[in-house]
Amino acid sequence: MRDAVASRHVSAEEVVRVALERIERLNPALNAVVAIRAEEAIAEAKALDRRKQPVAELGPLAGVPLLVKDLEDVAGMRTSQGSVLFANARAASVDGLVPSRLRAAGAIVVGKTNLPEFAAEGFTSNLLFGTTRNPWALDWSPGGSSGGSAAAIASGMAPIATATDGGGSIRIPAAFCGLVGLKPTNGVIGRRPIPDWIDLSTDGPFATTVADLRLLLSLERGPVAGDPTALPKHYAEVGGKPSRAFAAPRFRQGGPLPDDVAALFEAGVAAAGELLALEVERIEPKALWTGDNWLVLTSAEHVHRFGRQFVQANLDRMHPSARSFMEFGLGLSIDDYLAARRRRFEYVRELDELLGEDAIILSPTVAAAGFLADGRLNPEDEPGALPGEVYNTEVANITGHPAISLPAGICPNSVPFGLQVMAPRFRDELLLDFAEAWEKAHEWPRTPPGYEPFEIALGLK
Amino acid sequence: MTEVWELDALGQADLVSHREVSVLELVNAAIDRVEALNPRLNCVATPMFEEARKRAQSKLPSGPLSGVPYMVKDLGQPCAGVRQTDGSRALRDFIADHDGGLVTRLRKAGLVIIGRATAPEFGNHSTTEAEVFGATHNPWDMERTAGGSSGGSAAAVSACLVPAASASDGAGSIRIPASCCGLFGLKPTRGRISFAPDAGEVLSGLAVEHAVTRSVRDSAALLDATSGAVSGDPYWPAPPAEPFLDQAKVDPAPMHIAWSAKAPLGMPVDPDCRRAVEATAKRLEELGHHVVEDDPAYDEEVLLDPMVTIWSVRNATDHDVVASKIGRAPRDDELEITTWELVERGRKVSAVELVRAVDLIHAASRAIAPFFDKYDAWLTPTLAQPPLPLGRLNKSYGGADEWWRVDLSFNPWNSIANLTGNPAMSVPLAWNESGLPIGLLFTGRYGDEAALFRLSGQLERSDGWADRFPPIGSKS
Repeated sequence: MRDAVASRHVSAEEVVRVALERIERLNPALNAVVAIRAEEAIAEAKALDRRKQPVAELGPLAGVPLLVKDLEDVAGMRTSQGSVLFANARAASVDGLVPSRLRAAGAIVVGKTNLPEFAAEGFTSNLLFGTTRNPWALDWSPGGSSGGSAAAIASGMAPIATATDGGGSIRIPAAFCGLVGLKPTNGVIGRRPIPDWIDLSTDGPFATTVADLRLLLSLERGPVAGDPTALPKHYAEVGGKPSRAFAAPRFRQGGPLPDDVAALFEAGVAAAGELLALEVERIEPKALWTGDNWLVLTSAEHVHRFGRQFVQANLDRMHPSARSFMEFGLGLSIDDYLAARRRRFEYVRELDELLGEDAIILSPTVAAAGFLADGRLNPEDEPGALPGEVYNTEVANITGHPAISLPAGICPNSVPFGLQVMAPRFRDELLLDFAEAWEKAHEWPRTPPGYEPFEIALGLK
Repeated sequence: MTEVWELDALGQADLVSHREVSVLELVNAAIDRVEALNPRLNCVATPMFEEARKRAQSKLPSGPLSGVPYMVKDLGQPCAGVRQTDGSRALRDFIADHDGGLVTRLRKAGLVIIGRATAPEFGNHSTTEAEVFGATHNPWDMERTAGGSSGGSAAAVSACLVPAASASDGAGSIRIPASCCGLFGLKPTRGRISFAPDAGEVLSGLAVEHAVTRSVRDSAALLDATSGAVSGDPYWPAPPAEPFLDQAKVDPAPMHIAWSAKAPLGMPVDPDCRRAVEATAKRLEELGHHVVEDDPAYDEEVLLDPMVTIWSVRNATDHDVVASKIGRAPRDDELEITTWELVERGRKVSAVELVRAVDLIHAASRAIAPFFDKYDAWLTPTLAQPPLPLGRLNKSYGGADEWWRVDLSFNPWNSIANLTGNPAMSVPLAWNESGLPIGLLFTGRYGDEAALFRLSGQLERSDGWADRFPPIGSKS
């Protein structure tokens, strides 16, 4: 699409207007986009169209409409974090790092997308904007916390939307929306501003194709002044093929997988083994069951970020699941927090030793065939009370390892199934190479039935 | 050997009346302690040493409190010829030109005022960290708040600089510092102490003046000396049948006491505070009272917008009063950010909105009243947390409503007695494992301070706190 804009085949203004029109048409049923940036976007598009530069000098995303997760800052817009508490917050004055890098590449922000309050859940529903629905099956969740962005891309509202992953928030929505989503090794993308969950969070891309994923990662990656552990600019990634593959159904204590999930996981493991020409080894990695380690680190850091008094004063205005998250954090001592920080090293060692130079682990991204949109596993559950054992994603945040979710079939309830693949630290290229091979061998639908991907709507290739 | 500063006010007055010590010696002992300890506590806004020594050598009115060194809160309560800042940089050079009503009555009782104690700007915070003087420290832990807005008085009394000091309470400002500093703090019934001649009411009837003390009997004696409605007062609680001091000496008949550890608006309660209430409820049962877990039913939203409305209009008014005192508008840097937030909010309130806020407060008061027909007193923690570290409560959270809500998370229960006008006392019955005071709040029936004095007198006799002193300035 960028080439179409660059070659003046279609104007940036047209493309932005199409995005705005598609959002207007598709969003009411999905509630993925929670703030619109129409005037400024059109003005930016017009300015781009008036430019006299040669095509080669335009950025790789010139004229491409971009949605930003409402956890990240866009100058001139407020960042709500999906919370009533920040409904009237002052507008940000500076872009967050990834929005700024994508805009520097020419992308034009058209709006912000929904997330659960404080980005602390694997579904997307909050008291400020309501519930986001999965375009694949409207009663079901697009996952979280980057659910608004995932639903928007999957339904074709815009071609790109940002995401972050502190506990699975790129991979879970990628899994439920049939996208490919990568949580890079922590440190590949620099941190600015400091995330609420300081070391566990990272930005990262999801997309409908591996080519788009690679492009986005190349634009997002790189150090930034102020981040003490970001990888240097010219760090050379090594791709290739794994020499060993493991399959683990769960990374939390829990019974056998639900039948639907188990069937699709088995099929995915078999397909992966075939693709790699490897015997996939079954493991039950009890040493990687991280217990409440994730919750201790993230809730303590989040309480500290807002300030105890502010949190205590506003518990009754929070979504129930955000409230229990914060209450847990309020009850923690500095010793609890530091013990959890030190325990991280044990999990890192376990996974480093298991994966060696170039092994991978396959698992279901989510050990459940979807969540109901307001955050229930079963109709009779309380909204927002998902059991911990559905999540297979936290380990990679605790350890920093890269993990990708690949579309690997569709559950009987019409919600897509994601196959998660983890690789050794700093071997993101290994995952991207595998994803490319997987995409070739098992091409997946880029949108749900009834929707059109963004490019096709413009008649572009 | 007992040091004179360990004695309560009535104890020190006894020494004087028995001629064991002169008033000047008492006053000088207090001044010595102020000079030794105030540099660390920072609780004295303006010393009045010269005047105090002069008065100590003059003929003082006789009475049970005659000759006792005292401090007054530097918020309102003017002393003629002495700087009155109300906690504000804008008033750092303002000299009061008359004695206020309470000060007059205190002097008539023979008390000798040796200084004015720090308060936050316009009494706005539950901590005393005004920018004009800097933070006042809690004698029990110097990194923590002494509470507010009578934090200077509480720190001074807790560290035994003076045995008692005046205070005032619009949303807890007597009881919060009493709880933080391990003191006895009674907010009397609305109208019990007249605001004559300077005012009829303050904060639409929410506020009352009185004192923080170490002993129950001091609070009772001070109330005897300063209470009494005066012609022209808008509120007239029935005068007590007997002196309050007598009530403090007598155990109560078994009382019907409700207790609760649940805070309004679902604000979380620290386990230390919850445990203290549960232990006190048990203790009351052991003392023969009928104790049941219960709390009043009313629309808790009244604690939010209506209170902020009244408070912010008060600040907007204070701004103009300050302007008339100094002959010009205060500059941006002469009032604190949170004060400006309140002033701005207050200026947007219409007269109709203010009346509506008062209506809602009166409606809540009516909803709560039947609860006190059923029970003689209601026990809760005074605060939802032990004394907080300094720096938490005096900062901006983006606006007046946000600031109020954060304050409420520390101080959820106290406003209830302000909006009903009922008397309420914080009793220093608990300390947590870190040695921080945890006050227990008893809210009583309208006009019935007598019952509260009987109960607190009983608790003081059975579970006294007189031998607990903060580390600062202690003998050992």
